[in-house]
Amino acid sequence: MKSTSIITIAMLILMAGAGSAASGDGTMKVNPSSVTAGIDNDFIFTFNNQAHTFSPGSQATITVPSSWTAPQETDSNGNGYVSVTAIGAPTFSYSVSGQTITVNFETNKDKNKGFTISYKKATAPSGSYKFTTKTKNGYSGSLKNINTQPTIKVSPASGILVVSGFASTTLAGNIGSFTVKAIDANGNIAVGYTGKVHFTSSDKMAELPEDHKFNTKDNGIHTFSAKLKTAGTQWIKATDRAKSSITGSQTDIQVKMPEYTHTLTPSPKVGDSVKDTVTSTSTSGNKMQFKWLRPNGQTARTKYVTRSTNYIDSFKPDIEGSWGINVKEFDNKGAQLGTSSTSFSATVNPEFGKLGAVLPLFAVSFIFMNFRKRFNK
Amino acid sequence: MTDKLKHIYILLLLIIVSLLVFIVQGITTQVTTSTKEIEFNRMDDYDEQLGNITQISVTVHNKDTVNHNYTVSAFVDSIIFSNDTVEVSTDMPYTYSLTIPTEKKYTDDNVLIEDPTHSINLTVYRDDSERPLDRIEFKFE
Repeated sequence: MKSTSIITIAMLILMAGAGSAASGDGTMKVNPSSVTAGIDNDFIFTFNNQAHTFSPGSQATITVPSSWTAPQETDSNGNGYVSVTAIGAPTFSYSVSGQTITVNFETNKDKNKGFTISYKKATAPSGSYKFTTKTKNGYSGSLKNINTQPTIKVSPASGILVVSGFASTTLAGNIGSFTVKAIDANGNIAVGYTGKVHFTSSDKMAELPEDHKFNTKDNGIHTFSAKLKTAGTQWIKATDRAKSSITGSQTDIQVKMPEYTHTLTPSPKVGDSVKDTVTSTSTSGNKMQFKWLRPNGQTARTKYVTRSTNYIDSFKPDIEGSWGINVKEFDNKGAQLGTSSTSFSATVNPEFGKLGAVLPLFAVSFIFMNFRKRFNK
Repeated sequence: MTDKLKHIYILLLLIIVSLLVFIVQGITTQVTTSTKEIEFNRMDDYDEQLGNITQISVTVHNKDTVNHNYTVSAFVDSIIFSNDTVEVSTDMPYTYSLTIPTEKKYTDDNVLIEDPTHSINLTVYRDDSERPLDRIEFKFE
């Protein structure tokens, strides 16, 4: 009986050992793990060493299911862009080949070491997908599946519009193009979509496309142009006119104000012409408002200038002190694209001062008096 | 006449001359600044990039003893271009100015491709009054 128990325990230990050897060390988790079909999403896969020491030569592979957006590491704005960031791992490198991402790394045995894989603008048809992850420890080991594979559930879309392609960072007033894709419940492009799409934006000054009725030539995809004009984080939304639940938007579009530099006439005097030459990074065809502010804050002049090479305005300050120049750039529709300000100090030109006119008179009288004094003597 | 009296006499003479200078200066300044409350102006110019350009301006002289808010409304081809309100004090002028390209541009085949501006309308209001203080229309052929 005793010997039987010993054999059983030994077998269990062997089985446990065999089990541990059959799987790779570490864990891989993914966020988000549940998305909607047809919509591009950004995913973060996090590998944790679970306090295992990964010797030099260790490797992890993660295979993206074939129906997903193919991973790539060349175009950071493109779909399926992959980048890897180490978490306390002293050395690592990575590569993408076909659907597989390979990470070479090593860690000490401290907890929570490893790396994150960023997989951007990726989508897939509805279904549940396992991203097979394997690891090996050191040069001599072989790649083995980890125990719990990261899984992403893709829910069917109930007919949506996907808005994408507008530059994630753009200059206020610049024209940009974007694509609207009609997606069916399975996450595929709805080639037969014939709905009429209306556009809205968080930017109240945006120039958006007119309503567009999709036709058979569109095959479910159409490219549009728009201008966002208000600096900040903006979005563009497309909504089906007949069924508002068929909608989609592109978010996190960073609209930046044009940059301005002022070049002023040096050491300006009261009564002299002061020239402000403003360069702007915006496109041509815009207008600039110059406001020349007296030292008391009152506006001495408002002037609108159409852009030539630069925006240029000149003004003769009529009092001494610290003057301000505020500029605002507008496009041809009157939307304000950006603003900037500068200041200068206007000093009195002595030859124009009243004191300057009276002083010589006193000088002459002083000489005259002395002359009379000597003459009388 | 003693020397002392002579000196006093000369000093008084100089003071009178100085005062006269101030008075004359004051009068000439008043004469030169004795302008209308609202003055419109037009100046045509040329820009290498834009071609013919025109500068339209209106200068406000507040003749009152208290500060006033003046609003200048500009319409380019009957479309509102700007609506600027500024406070103008009694002793300082305010100028609103607008420089715009006015040159018509044609292709080699004499087809009009750019016809930037036909008319500019400037209207000046004071404070909250809805009745214009003055207005002018500039036309471009």
